[in-house]
Parts: sequence; C-alpha cells; structure tokens
Amino acid sequence: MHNLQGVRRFFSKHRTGMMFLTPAVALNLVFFVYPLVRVFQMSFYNWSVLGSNRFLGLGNYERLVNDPLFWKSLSNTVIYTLIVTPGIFLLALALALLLNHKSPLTNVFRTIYFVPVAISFVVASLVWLWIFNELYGILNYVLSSLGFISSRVSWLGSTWNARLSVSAMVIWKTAGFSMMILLAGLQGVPVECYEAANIDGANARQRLLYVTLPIIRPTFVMALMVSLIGSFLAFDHFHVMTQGGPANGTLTIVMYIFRTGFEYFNLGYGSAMSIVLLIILIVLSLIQTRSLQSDTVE
Amino acid sequence: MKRLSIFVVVMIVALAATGMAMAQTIVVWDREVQTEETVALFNAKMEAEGSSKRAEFQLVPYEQQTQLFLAALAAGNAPDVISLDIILHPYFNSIGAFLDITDRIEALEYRSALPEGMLHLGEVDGRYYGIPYTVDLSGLVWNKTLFREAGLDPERPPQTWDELIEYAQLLTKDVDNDGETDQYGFGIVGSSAGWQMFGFMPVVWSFGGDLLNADGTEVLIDSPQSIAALQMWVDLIHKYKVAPVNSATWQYSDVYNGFVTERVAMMLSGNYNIITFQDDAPDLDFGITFIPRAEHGQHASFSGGNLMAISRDTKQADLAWEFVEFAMSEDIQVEVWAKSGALPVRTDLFDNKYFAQDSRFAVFADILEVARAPYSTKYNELYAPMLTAMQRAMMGEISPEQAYQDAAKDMKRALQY
Repeated sequence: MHNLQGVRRFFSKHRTGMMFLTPAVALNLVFFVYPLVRVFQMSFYNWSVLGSNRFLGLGNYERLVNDPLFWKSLSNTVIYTLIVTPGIFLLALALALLLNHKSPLTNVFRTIYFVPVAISFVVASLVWLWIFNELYGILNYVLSSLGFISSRVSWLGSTWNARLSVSAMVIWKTAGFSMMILLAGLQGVPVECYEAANIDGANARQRLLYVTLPIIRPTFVMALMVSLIGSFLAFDHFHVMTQGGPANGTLTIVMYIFRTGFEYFNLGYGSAMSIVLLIILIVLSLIQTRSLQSDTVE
Repeated sequence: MKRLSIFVVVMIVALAATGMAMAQTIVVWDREVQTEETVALFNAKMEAEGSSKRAEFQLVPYEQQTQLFLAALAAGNAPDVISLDIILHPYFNSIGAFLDITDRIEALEYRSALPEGMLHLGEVDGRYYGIPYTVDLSGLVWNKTLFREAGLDPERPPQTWDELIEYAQLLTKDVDNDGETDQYGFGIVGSSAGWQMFGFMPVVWSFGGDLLNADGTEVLIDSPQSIAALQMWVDLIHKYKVAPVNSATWQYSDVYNGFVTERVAMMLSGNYNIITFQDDAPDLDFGITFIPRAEHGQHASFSGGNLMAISRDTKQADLAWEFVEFAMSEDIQVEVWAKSGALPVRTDLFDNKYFAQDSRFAVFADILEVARAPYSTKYNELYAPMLTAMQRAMMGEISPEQAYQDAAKDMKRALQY
C-alpha cells in the first residue's frame, strides 16, 4: 500500500468493512477528534465565549505551573488513585478467586457483587452521602448502637476522613467490575498448569503465586490500567459528596478543570490543563501497552 | 400543471413567511418556578388581547445556570430574556452578553423604587444592562420557644455579635445529659461557598471590612477589620462553643434541619425561609431580623436574587421588554412573588396585602436598604479561596489572619489574569 492506487484498491476490496466502520469513525471524528483539536487550539488563548480572544502563546501553561491549586488537585488525584486501586484489586482478586468454580450459588454472588457497578455514580454518591452523614446517617447510628464508637464520627469532615470514606464507597462500587475481568482471566488458566503444580507438590498459596498470578498477568494489567485511568478521571463522587472539600482536600484534577472552565469562565486555561491531563494519561497508557508487549514476547 | 405547482409553492412560502412574521415568540430562562407562572399569565394576557405574541419558558436549575447560558451564548442560541443570578452580571456584561436598557429603565414610573445596590450590579460605565427582578436578603432567625426556655425575652433578638454570643451560651445545652451537646445556640453553614457569602459577608461588612473595593479591582479581605470578623466567627465554634465543632462541613440542609427540629436556636437565613419554615414546621415559633452588627458597626445584608436582562443579539427586543415590564408589574410582583413569600423587588410594593398578614416580612423593607453585593467579573473564582480559607480557619487548622492572607494572595493572583 505504498501508493495511491494501492490505497484505492484496499478500500474497494474491503468496501463492506469500511461501510461498517464509517459510523464509528464519524462519531469519533465529530465528538472526539474535533473537540480535541479545538481544545488544543484554545489552550493558547485567553478564550472568550463572546467577543475577541487574546493570544497568549504558552501563557496558560506557565500559569498552571505556578498555580498551587493545579498541583494540589493533581496530588489529590494521585493520592486517591494510590488508595483506591489496591483496595479495588485486593477485593476484586479475592472475590474472583472465591467465585472461580462452578456452583449454583456462584452466579448469584457474581450478580450481587456486580450490581453496584450498574448503579450510576451520582445515585450511589447521594446514598452514601446520607449513610456517612454525621448526625442522621445510618453508619454512625449502627456503629454507636453496637458500641463500636463512643461519639459520632465525621466521615466526610476532615481531609483524610473524606478521602478514605469516598474511597471506601468507590471500592464497594467498582470492585465488581474488576472482579468480572479477573474472573475471565482466571477461567483462561489451563487446568493442566494446576495439575502440573499439584504433581510438583505445590500448596494453595504456591499455586496462587507461581501459577495463577503469572498467567493472568496480562488480564490483571489491563484491568489495572482501566481502573487507574478511571481513577484519574474521578469527578462524580467527589462533586456530589464533598464538592472538593474540606479545604480542597478532595479536589480532583477533573473537578478543577470543570470549575475553571464552567464556573470561572477561564476556558483557555481549562483547555491547557486538559491537555496536560491528556499527556499524563497517554503516558500511563503507553506504560500499559509496553508491559503487555513484554509479556507476549516472553 | 407546471404553473399550478409554482403557484402552490409560492403560496406556501408566502403563507409561511406571514405566519412567521405574525407569531412572535420569545424564550425566557429562569431558575425560579414563579417565572413559569408569570410566563403562563403573560401568554394568557396576549391571547385575551388577540395578539399572537407568546413567551416560552425554560427552567434552568441554579447549579447549571452558568454552564447552560455559556453554552447557549457560544452557540448563538441565547434566550431572549434571562433572569440570572445578580453576582454573575458583571462577568456577562464584560463579554457584552446583554442589551443596553438604560433608557427603558429610566422611563419607568417606578424607577425610584428599584434598589440602587442591585442596579449597580448590572451597570457598566453608567449604563444599565439588567433590571432587578427578584431579591433574596439574608437575616437572622431565632427560635422564640428556646429563648423562653433559656430565660431570654423571645421578642428581643440579639442586635450585636456580643449579645448573640451571650444569648447563644445560654442556649447551648446538653438536653438529655448524655455528655454530648445536642442543642446549639447558633448554626453555621460551613461547607457552602454561596452561603459563606450570603450569610457571612454582611458580618464582615458590619465589622468595616470587605471582600473587594467598589469596582472590584482591589482585594480587601486581608484588612484587620475583615480578619476581626472571621476571628469572632471562629470563636463561636472553638472559644464559646455555641456552634458545632464540625461546622466547617455542615451543609445548609443540616443547619436548616437543625433549626426546624429545634436543636439549633439561631441561624443566618433568608426571607424565603419564612414560608418554608411554616410549611416544614407549622408549630415553630420563630422570628426574623437583621443580621447582628459589630459593636461599633452598622447592620448589613447581602442582596442575592436575580436581575432580568435581554440578550444583545435578540431579534425581538421590543417583545422582550414588553415581557420584562409585565414581570415587573404590580400584579405579578405581588400576586406571584409576595403571595408565595418571596420579596417583591420594588420597594413601593412592600406594603401589600400578603405581607400585612405576617408582620415578619416588614423587617425586610428595612433590610433591603442596607443590602449590597460585591461587584466582580470574577466572582465565582474569588469566592473559592474564601471558602477554603474559612473552612481551614473554622476547622482550627490555621489562624483567621493566616486564612484571609492566604485567600487574599489567591484572589490577587486570580485578578491578575
């Protein structure tokens, strides 16, 4: 396909395939590529909704380097990701291992663990906001009735309480999704490998560490990346439960971009921050692709 | 046959054109449901007069106001008439979103009854781009029953902050003797930036401090007077302990619920609560008055509410103004707004039959005279550092002085751009 004729021949040979691709490509171009190009353009201006735009060159990028709140929201996002990801994966792996055999009950439990994933994040956040409520929330009520706490806990009232409480909610809500992915990976482990390990005298722990985990590594890495990128884009639950507080302790990067663009009307500045976020996510994705490739080479 | 089809096409086009010219419609946006009623009444009036002019209403929730309006402006789809939060007008005027209606306003017979403080928020270089339409004022509510129980005169609310502290200490108790305070003298909404402005700015003003100077170009929040106000506020929580220790995270609904369940004796509130308290707690015996002032200061209040404006690019300026005049008329301001417990924005209409029934509304005519709002094209961006500063001070993390100095630094940076 090194010339125009070759390209034309390719397209006419695969005409049906191209036709099927067209809607997806069109949607992608209109709703992803075009806005992306525009955001990139806007990031170099003081962009006004009406009226004239002022060209700033790299001004918006300089601004974000010196903006303490940009770095704080980025660090909040990273901290949150570091808390939530192990939480999700330890739980998801445990559940997947437990449910990795055929029994009439396993399907029931898989559904139960997956249901939180199917609820909208906003709905879940509102429910948990009330559960965590200091005065009227059911969590404080149950814990103090059972005698586990002596005075009311403010679950969302301090920076770390808020981070951990919201993380707990997210783990409850998304572990089921990672569990399903890991289950699929687990079921791809050939039975012969376990049999071979048994012959070598391996116990359950050794089977897990030396057979299961290495074989599901690609699946694991993929689930991990999906989860990491999702955590980086966290918005809904923090917006509903803490509005980024207290004192910006739970302000994530997407929240800050949203506020900058839509509440402070600094569209150019918000665009610059979005481009920086995009670069970070591209780097994360490259790391994923690189580590998957090294697996297949082995 | 060909001539007939040409004739038909021409007739259709002509009819359509006349149809379009005859049916004039304007689009009206607001966050308040009362405007929906106003639009319905306007359409009924137009129909009764045999005119084909109509208005179409769109309810825009408060949280989505700026985003939806911004998107509409960018798409060239702005509504003809919009009733928008007063503190956003300086920004939208800075990008030229609204029509100059100065001459139309000056020609109104009730021009002198329009609050100057509100008109100022819609003013640029002496020209007006918005007319006061609805007003919300902040005040203090107090629970008369709890006052009586504490031995205080239920008809004498605190006038100064020192008095409030005194009364609140008597009103803060451990009612069921379980070692934990369950009745608080004062409730503070710590987690809402909007509430910090609506409720707390008047406190700062009465202490002689301010957020910004008159034209919004200089930051004044780190002045000693402003810091003194915050110090008093923080003392309510940590020194006098008359407000809950976690006030920094209390939402408006938490304080409201506390007040109607009689666990909070006093709170800063707005005129709209007169009706909502009556609906949610009919047996609640409460009064509403000015926000207390500093010992040597004046009473102040925050004039929230909406200005109504016409889009600069509207194609129906005259019809839009006709609607605006209708919405400002005595019939609407009294029968739609005063009737539902909201304040009419025209000071000449405060003396109406609905307010005569409940004397609690009367005080707002006086409060309106001392009410103001900060003028800034970057309002949203400025009050975010305010919220952070106040929350950190209220949580005891930093001193009020440090808090407002940090906030001032962030605000100055925002004003740079």
